[in-house]
Amino acid sequence: MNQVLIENLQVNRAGFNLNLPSMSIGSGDVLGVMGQSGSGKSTLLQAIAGFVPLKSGTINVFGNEISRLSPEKRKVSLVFQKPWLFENQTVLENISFGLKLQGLPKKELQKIAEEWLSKMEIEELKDRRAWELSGGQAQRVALARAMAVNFPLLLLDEPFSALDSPLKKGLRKLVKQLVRDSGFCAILVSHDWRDIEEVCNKVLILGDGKSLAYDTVRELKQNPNQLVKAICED
Amino acid sequence: MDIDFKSGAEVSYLFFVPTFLFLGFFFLIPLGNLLVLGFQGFSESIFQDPYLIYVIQFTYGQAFLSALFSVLLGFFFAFLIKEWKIFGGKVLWRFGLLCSSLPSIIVALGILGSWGKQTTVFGWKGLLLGHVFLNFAIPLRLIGNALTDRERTSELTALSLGMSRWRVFWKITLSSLQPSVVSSWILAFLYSSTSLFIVLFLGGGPRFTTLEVALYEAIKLNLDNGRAIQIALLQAGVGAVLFFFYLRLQKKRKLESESSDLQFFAPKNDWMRRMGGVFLWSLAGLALGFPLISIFIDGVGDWSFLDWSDLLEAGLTTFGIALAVVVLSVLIVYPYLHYLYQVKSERETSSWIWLIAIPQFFSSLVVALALSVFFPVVREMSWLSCLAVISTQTVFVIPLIQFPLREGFLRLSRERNWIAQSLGATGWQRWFWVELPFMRRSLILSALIGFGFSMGEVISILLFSPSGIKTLAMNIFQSMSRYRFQEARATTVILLFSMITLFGITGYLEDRDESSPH
Amino acid sequence: MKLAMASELENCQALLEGLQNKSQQKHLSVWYQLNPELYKWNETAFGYLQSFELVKKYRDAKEGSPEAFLYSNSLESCLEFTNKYSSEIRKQELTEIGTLIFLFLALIGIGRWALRRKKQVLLSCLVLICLFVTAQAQANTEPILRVYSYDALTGRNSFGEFLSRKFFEKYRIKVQFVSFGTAGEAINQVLLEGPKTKADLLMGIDEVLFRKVEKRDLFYEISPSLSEGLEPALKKSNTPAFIPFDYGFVSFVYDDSRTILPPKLSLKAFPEMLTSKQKVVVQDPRTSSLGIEFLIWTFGELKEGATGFWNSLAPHILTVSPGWSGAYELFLRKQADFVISYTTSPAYHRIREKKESIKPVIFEEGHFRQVEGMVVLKSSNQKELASKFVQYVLGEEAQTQLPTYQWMYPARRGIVLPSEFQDIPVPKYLSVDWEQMSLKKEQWIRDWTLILSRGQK
Repeated sequence: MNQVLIENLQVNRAGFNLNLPSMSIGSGDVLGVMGQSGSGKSTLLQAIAGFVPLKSGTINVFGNEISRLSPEKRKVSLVFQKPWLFENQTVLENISFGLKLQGLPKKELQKIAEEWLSKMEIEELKDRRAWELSGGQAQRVALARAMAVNFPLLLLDEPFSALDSPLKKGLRKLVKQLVRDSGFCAILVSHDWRDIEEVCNKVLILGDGKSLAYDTVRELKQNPNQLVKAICED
Repeated sequence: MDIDFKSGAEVSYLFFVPTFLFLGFFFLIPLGNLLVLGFQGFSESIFQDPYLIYVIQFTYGQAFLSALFSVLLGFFFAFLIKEWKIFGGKVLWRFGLLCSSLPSIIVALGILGSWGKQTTVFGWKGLLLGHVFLNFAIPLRLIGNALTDRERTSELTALSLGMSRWRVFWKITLSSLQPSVVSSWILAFLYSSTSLFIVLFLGGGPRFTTLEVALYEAIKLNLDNGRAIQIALLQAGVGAVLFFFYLRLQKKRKLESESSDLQFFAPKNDWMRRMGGVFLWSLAGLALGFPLISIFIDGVGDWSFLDWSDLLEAGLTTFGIALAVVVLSVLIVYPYLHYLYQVKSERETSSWIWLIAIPQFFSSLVVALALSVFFPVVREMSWLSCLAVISTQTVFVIPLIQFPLREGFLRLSRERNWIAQSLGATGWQRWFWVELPFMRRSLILSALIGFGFSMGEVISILLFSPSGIKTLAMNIFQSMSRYRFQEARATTVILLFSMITLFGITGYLEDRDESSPH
Repeated sequence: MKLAMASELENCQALLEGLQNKSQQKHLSVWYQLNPELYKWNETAFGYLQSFELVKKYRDAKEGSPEAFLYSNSLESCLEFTNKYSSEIRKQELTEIGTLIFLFLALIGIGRWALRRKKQVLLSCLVLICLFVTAQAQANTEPILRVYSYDALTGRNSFGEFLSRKFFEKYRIKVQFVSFGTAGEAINQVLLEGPKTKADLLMGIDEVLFRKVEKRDLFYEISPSLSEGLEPALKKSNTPAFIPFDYGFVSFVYDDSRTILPPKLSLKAFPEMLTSKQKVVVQDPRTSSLGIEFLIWTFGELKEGATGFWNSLAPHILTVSPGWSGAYELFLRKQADFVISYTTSPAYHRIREKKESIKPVIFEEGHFRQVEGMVVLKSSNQKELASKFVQYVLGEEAQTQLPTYQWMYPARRGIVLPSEFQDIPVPKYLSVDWEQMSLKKEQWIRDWTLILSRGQK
């Protein structure tokens, strides 16, 4: 079945406890995660990616139980607030990095990378190096790099927060469309309600490592409680 | 397949074991052995000797002033190169690094042959000249990098709110540079307080004696090992305290620095920039270039007496030993730092970093003596003594190269590694394709430091070589002790030329690597 | 019968030499280290070979005469010893092979076990242990004579290299010179290594340094007959452990193309003779043996006048150099007019550079003489070999070559010096009260330090 199931996740990290109920993300859907600083948003992503060990719980991605796998085997790609491009490589090489690791022939991986350049509307940047790009361009490259590998789950940790408004708007729309078209799942962490509203289908509100609310975006907008409202308006 | 976090613990052994084994076997145990032997010959406490009290005061007094002048000069150079972007800044930057990597005996002879012919350089003048020559590259590099990488938003905001450039510099920029200024002062102080050949050749008498010279005297002539150990422990104690403060000033940077081309303090007029460049080049020429040129002038002449096959062999041996030292020290330090900075927390990193820093607190005389006493058997076979020389030099080089490598790791973010890992890269793949290209500059700088040190080092060869190992530096030393001074000068020119060539090649390699942000 | 006996003696001699060579092969040397008694086999064999040189001449002695009896007796004991020696070597070889096979099998077994159980750390330690043991085994190769000395005496084209080459050619015994920065370091190394030191001999220590350590019971008193060929003034009956091999007179050296001296000069008057512009480089007595010798000379000879001497000299001191080479370099660069060196230093310039202007200052009252010597260590188990080496160094061949290596006078009397040495005046020798020197040296250094701290510009 093409969905992501997270069940009874518990994480303990340097005295901080993260306890979550069961959640599911359907194919082509984006789960938004919001909460104040220190609520456990990044810890959740790191736990799913495998950089923080789970105390208990399971993570099932498209029928595969991944919670005991090492990060490089989980087929979960990451995008952070900063692009963190590989400085010594060109844009094309950055995008095809993950494809190269899969052992694809050179021509094929070049073709896929160029397709993603086109989807991201950055064909002209193909041979540029990372330090020659603007913030928005670099973030598009980072997104292309994460999506080109076609992993079933994409984790986005505040990918738009370092960008200015016009760029954010464009990228939000692009991300939503690409996730929907590709059929994989995504989790987007953000402190900006507009990101959640425009990109996500469901939202999880975290507070002090616990789930304060978990519902669709539409439901939460229609029936917010006072606490959720305070967080969302922050 | 189970994810085995325990296997991470097993992997960690591979990172730590070589470092522990090497430093344990080639430093801690021999040093402990020497301390025990030395205390068996314990005489009076050094604090009861009024002459040594004077020496202690002089040591740290001259180190204070040397460090101060080094920082002032280094700051001035860094500011003009990085902020004003004067012409030939890159060349000056590398020239500064070259000067700091030269063997101190060459620097001493250069100063004697240049300024020494114009005026009396012995005493305070010589000491300050020599120490500044060797150490100003530390503040040049640390402050220069801090100027490039500093956060400019506050400055931009202050300027846009109408604050004058000088006030912005004084109130905001200087405070952001403070950690690098103080760190570089600490390092320059440490090196000035433990220098030997500069004090021996340019000090010139009992008024200008430092603890290192007193140590030299105790070991070489007075055979007073108890006194030598006491001096060594005092030096180590002071060094450890300084290093503690140095570590506190270093914050592990989690985010990559964002270098910017904004120059808030560049001169408004181009002619001012040119004048600044002319002034800086003149200063560099007088303070740094003049001694080096005198070495060439004194050494170049009739070379028909030189045994070229002998020199070639010495050159190849020098290069071979230096290469082995660099490779060995990088192999020991790099995995250790990689594990600390990529896996461990900041608190754990600060605790464990001490291990590789400890050798620098002890005089190289004491460390070499400890090794030669612990391993007397190594003198009997050429290859064994060669190995002993390489190991001894590696012990000295490890604390030197940890500085540029640590700076590189501080810039290398954890997130980048995570991204590569999430895309499916194994540990080796991440290291080769992501980390190594990023660390290239730090590795090149470490190699330069290691080469520079090894090519000029004679103490370990004097102690271990059964007259079989001959390097260019040893050639200089031995020629001078047998009346063959012209040969010594000629060999000095060849050594200096080799080092300049090496720096030129590595500089070219650095320039090719345009992607690094610094 | 005489011919048959002669043949047997020569055969025995050849057999013994063969066994001796075999015992020096690397793979047997480990057992020599483990069983110190085995070293004595080699020394006994050496003794036998030496005695043949004496006994051979009795080959044609009349039958029944004491000489003939001596000859046949030597032959019999030699044959008996040779048989025992041969079987001992065979026994050690078999033991060594057996032990190596056992160790090899044990290593294979442990290695396989470690591999199966993935004990990487154990494997790493095993590899390191193997390397270390191999190194130790390699290091304990042939029994050789180890001489600790200072750097200028060792290395290529040095006197030490000449000695080890010639000694091997003559006696087939390897001499390994172990190099240190100074003789003081060499002694310090021996002190720190203790009774397990590898050194057999120390070469190049001067009298001042020797006096410092003579009471520590480190040195072996070799046969006085070895000193018989020395210059009479060098023979020291009260220090039989110290064997001089060269000497020189300490003095100032100058270049007469730019400095003119009065025809007669005394040490006391030297500073007063200097003009205000003339500069002197001296060596630091705390780091240089030449420096301490000059200090001892001035304080020992001038006594109360020494303070005045140094006070007068201080303003002219360009610098106090840590060692001889730095000081001499300054002199050659013409930054100083006078440097403390040896009266024989000009010989180098005359022979190698054809330069005659470098000259020594000769003081009327005489000069301090630096004597360099050799000492055999009590801890050495090759004292006979060491004595043989001392004998060679003091022999005519070595002493004739010494001046143009060391640029010092040879200790043996009757050696013909190169003409460039003969042109240099030999000063009067000033005797030193060594007792007083030992007692007062530290005070003299303190006084000197005080004077120079104040008086130096």
